[in-house]
Amino acid sequence: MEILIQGKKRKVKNSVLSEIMNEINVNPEEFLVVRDNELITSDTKINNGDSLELLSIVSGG
Amino acid sequence: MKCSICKEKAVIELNYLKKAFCKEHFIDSFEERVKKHVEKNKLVDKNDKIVVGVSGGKDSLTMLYLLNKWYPGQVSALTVDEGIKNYREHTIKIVEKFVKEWGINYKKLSFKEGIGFSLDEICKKLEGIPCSYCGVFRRYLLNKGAREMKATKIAIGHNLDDEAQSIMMNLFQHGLQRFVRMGPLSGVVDNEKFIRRIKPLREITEKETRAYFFIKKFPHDIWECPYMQFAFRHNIRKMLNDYEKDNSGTKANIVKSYDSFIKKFKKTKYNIVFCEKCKEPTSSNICRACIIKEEFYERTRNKGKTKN
Repeated sequence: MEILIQGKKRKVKNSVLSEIMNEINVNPEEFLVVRDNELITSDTKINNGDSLELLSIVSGG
Repeated sequence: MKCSICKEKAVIELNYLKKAFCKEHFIDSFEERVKKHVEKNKLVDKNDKIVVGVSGGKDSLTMLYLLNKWYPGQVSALTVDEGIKNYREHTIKIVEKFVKEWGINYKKLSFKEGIGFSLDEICKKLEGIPCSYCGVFRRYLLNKGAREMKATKIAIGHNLDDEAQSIMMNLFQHGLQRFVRMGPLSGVVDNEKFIRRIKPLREITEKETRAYFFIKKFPHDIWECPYMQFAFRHNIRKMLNDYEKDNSGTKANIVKSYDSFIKKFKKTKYNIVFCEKCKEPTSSNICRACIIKEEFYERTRNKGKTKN
């Protein structure tokens, strides 16, 4: 399926957030995920066309 | 995933606590745990005047917000401008807007005025890692500035991730003097020129502060320190996060282990006395070196006698 990550189209094989994070090589310890302005948990089912925003946990320096 | 308290839809899972929370219960749990940590470790006294070191990042602003909410009239903010172009000027604007909105007394110091040169200038002339200079001067100015503001405590935004990283960094670098000074109330020396530092967020992960900040709709910084890539901390952070991903609770366990160790260490009374024979420092009347030397000479004398 195709989803948007940080506004960019991306094809993914999996449909559960934790599996997608693993697939795109993003450590959940370093990012929170937002869909429709709400934080979502790792077991969330992601649908074709969903737009995900990755919030970097590390900030500043 | 359901909230561990109300069974509504969860917005965050905290694997190290084996819990998940909805928005409302996450905010409650976050604030309760910070307050409990502050009270358990007696970080704030009713007569304290607290100066919060604020960088404009999520940790320091969250801490400023909470301390000001719980201890109104006792809290001021202090920012140190290191002079990092295209970075610090943006975060200072966030701080200035925040303190104005919440009516918090505020002061700003700069490397340029307080030390004589900016961090950018230091980095052009010296070859060391920027963070090693920055940390030294930032602590120096925070302490000086807080003292001028008549503070009794300096609050810094170190979270659980920062603390676990610092413990590992000091072990990796054999920084034992720094190692024993850590903890929720840092510093081992009571001196009027040294303002002790408190860490209210020490038992909260960086991920949680980020989530709290997002839910509270606080203005988050999108700027990253240009020198961050040079920091040793950056590598340790990545290492710990990679490990935490498959081993929940690693960072919390590092901090817990440190606390158990340091508790025993600080309870131990080390009475230094001086050896009656050689006058070197020791823990008993005669030092171990002198005892062994005496044994050696005695055997030598006896051997000599046997031969004779």
